[in-house]
Amino acid sequence: MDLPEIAVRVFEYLDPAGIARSHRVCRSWHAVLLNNVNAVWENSAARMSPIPGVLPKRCEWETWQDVVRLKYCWGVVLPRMAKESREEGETAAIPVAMVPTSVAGIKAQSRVTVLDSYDSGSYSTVRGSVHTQQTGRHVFFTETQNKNVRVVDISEDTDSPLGVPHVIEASKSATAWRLQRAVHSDLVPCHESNGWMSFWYADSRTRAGRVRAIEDEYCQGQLYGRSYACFNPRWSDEPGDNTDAAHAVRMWDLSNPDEPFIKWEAKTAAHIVDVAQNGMLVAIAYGSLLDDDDDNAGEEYERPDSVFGLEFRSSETGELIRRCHDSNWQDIIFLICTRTHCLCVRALEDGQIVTIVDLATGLVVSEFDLRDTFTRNYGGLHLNEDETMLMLWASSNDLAVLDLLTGTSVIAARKRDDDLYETWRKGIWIVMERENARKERPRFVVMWKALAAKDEVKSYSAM
Amino acid sequence: MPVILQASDGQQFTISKPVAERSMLLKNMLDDVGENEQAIPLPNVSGPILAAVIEYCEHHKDEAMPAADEDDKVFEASKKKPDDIDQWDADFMKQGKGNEELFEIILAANYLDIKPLLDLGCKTVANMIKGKTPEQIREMFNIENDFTPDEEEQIRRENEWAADA
Repeated sequence: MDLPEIAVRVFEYLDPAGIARSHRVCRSWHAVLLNNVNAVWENSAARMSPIPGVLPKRCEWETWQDVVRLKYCWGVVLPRMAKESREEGETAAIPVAMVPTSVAGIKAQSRVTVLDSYDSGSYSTVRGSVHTQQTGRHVFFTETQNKNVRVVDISEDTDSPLGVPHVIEASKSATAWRLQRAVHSDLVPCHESNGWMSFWYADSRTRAGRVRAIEDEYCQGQLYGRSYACFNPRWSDEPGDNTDAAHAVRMWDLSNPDEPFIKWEAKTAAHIVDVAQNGMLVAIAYGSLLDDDDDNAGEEYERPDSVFGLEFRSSETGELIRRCHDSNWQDIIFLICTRTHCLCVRALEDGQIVTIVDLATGLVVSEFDLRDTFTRNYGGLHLNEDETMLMLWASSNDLAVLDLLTGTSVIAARKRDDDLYETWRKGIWIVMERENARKERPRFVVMWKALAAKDEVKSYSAM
Repeated sequence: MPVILQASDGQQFTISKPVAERSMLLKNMLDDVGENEQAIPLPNVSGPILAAVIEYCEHHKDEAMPAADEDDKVFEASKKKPDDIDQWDADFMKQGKGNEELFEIILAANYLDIKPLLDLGCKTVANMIKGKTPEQIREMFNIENDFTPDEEEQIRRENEWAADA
């Protein structure tokens, strides 16, 4: 073991536990392992990959060790945090930090994550919501009662409220545009109307492409890089309705707007609830009783078996990789795919639970009830770019930021006796990663930025 | 035409060309120099080790040569399982070979550029490390613990997660 290159060859065969123990043998082994972190951990990353023999995706600032660690973050740390949060019991008050309404310090290179929010105004007023999609420092947002999509650069102006947004004018459109999720992309997807999707460069606010992604009334999906996975969320039991259209899943490569590169019609009686992709797999959830209860109230309806499910397909070929065999769930409302796990948000009658499925095995790892955990109330959840942080927000204006690397969480809420609480009630949550994180302070800074009341410096026509 | 190899201690071995060509070093040498009756000196390899290496090459002489480069790295990574060792190879590595001899075979395989034997040696060592505590590993390879207890504890904490990954 005297030659480092031979030592590295040996270490490459070790599993994560073996590597960890080898670190403690002596200084020279420790040094070889540290200096060759990518070589040593690459095989472990390949072994935990959802697709055998294909390495998972890796961000430029990550090592293969970081990627392997994600499996631990989602499979072990998150369930443990949820359990601890539950054990604190209802009596334990959520620590409410004062969230600054005005924060300086976001730089162009800062790693930030932005989240949707509800209008935080007093409960007596009608509450609208702000939907966001962010790439880098550019935040696209839409609001209830405003058809336009607006864009702000959060690093541009550090005084609150945020700088006056630019407008992508959607007023010619009959329906309000809806932003959709984008991961690892410089583009923001936007549903215009009738299945027409446009994709916008965040920095220049120009359009990169436009396709009719689903030939029906609506299209829902998620962008990863330049690949857009989408489905038709409509479901109808009407005789004569084109059920194929309602079961359509399409994958578009934005460089070819003429036709999807993969398409299939789900061969299930139920409709598709959500799709999510991680650059390797597309997760597809089928079937829901929720809509059915509304549509078929009082009707006799015999439900075939196995119409509910969760399956994972290759995002390159559409080939079925595996199913989640435990997933005869009738209540999935939302999916998020990390590189190692699929998070299924499921709606119970009076709350939500999150089920975590291991993508490499299709098995359920853990499940937690959001009513008992963190914010105890669910509005949405969101990940940062490298999947080491999970944000949970509650409709009641607080936010939990879970750092999965350290297993610590911060729960933030806007202070209601703040003078500006009403004035700046419309805003967005921003979570910024500190550039020089030290152990004694949280890795993330949470802030609330109010949105400007007025618009328009310059407008961009969508047509 | 047979090939004659001479170990560091002067011991000579006469082997057939297909056996010699399991070593990329020898193969390239034979390709360059052509057929030659002179012994090839291998000053980095002792007689007993060279004998073991030749035994390995004899056994594997009829197998297809592995690809010379590693351009298909990902595919290879998926095959990299330490327990994936055939029975003859496992017995070969076990038979009366102490750690010292095992390391010398690895070094010889590295020097002679016999990738399957190098991989076999590294897998064997990895399997010896697997499942052992740091203390057991030190004992096995006669390594001195040069960490302070605090340092070792800190490294243990930093890597604790990997046990459950």
